[in-house]
Amino acid sequence: MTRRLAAMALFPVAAALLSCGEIGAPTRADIYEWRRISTPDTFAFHWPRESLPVKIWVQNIHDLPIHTQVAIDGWKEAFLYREFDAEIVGDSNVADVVVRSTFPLGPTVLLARVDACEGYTDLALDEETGVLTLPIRIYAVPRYDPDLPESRECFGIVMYHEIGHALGIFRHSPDPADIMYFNPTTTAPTRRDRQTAEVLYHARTTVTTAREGN
Amino acid sequence: MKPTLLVLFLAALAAPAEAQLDYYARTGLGFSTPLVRDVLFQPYETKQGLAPLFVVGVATPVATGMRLGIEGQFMTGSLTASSDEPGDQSDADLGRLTTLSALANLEGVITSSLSWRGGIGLIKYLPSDKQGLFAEGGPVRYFVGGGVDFRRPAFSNWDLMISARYDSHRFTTEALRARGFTQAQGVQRGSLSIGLARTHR
Repeated sequence: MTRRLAAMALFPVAAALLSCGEIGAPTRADIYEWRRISTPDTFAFHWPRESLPVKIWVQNIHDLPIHTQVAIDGWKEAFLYREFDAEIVGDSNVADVVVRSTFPLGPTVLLARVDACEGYTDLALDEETGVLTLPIRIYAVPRYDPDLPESRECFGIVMYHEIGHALGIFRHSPDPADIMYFNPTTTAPTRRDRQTAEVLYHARTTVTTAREGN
Repeated sequence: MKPTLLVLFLAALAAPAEAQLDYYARTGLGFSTPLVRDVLFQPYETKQGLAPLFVVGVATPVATGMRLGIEGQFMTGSLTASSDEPGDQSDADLGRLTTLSALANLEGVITSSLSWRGGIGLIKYLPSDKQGLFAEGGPVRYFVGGGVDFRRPAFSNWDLMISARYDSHRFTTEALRARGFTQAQGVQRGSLSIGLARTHR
């Protein structure tokens, strides 16, 4: 009888011991400033869950749709809890983000310059009201022949960088190793880029969106 | 090592006469404590909701009032991530999570209609999408589990079987480790189920 009671007690005790202890979450302290700071105010933005997937229209030139899709997939992998998602759409009228291969006209521009091409993100952000007018406009333009291998590689880097701005990183990283450095050389988000994106998607936002023409 | 243990276990089950085999099937509901406790400004938990489950098992006598058995469980439900913060908009539907588990167990008599069961087993996580914490796929973990079974004759050679189960394991994934998560999360699961057991009177 005693042996039976001991056997009965063995498994709950072992199970309780096994359940002790918590997973250790990373601190995610290695991040850079992602907010747009315009004295005396700070503007923080990320796409709310109800806006996902973000709709991106891409001009079909220089393989930009392919580079954009790779960038979307890469940034999605930065997140553990599906905080960001985007899809390429066929109609620019319904797009939240528009990608073209022309030079920008907008007033608020984040510039990335790589050897063979340049990228711009035009944020129509009203700093009085904190309203971001959609669509966000991205421009990727070649500096030389767009069919050169270095131009194609450059478009890959630049689209990663500009989609990073479009998801809410409204600044450049100070570290040359990061994809969000103003003159990026890496071909994908670094650990610091990824952690910055993760943190910004759980930070409070101060920017709301409105659609052009509304 | 694992195949050898499996062969020995199956041999132990096969050795007694087939007539002594006791088998059962049940269905019910299970729950799980959080799989991951993260901190992103606030605590952020990933857990499986209340989920339907199906159980099949087989057991054979090994001593007076004691049986050796194996029990397989299939449980599938939604996986969500959420924070405790009221109004937090970052709650996420992470798709469907299925678990398959096998428990090698000993069963002993408590009273004529009540028995206990305890053992060790393996649990395999099968996420609907290879994303996020399951980007490198679902892990296999070992667990310790047990519970109690209530049986009451329902038909000739068939018992109504009502069971409560509890098991515990430590959860982590390759994707979590790659992102700097350390240790593993203690996860406890419980279930209630009802079914029929083929018996020999």
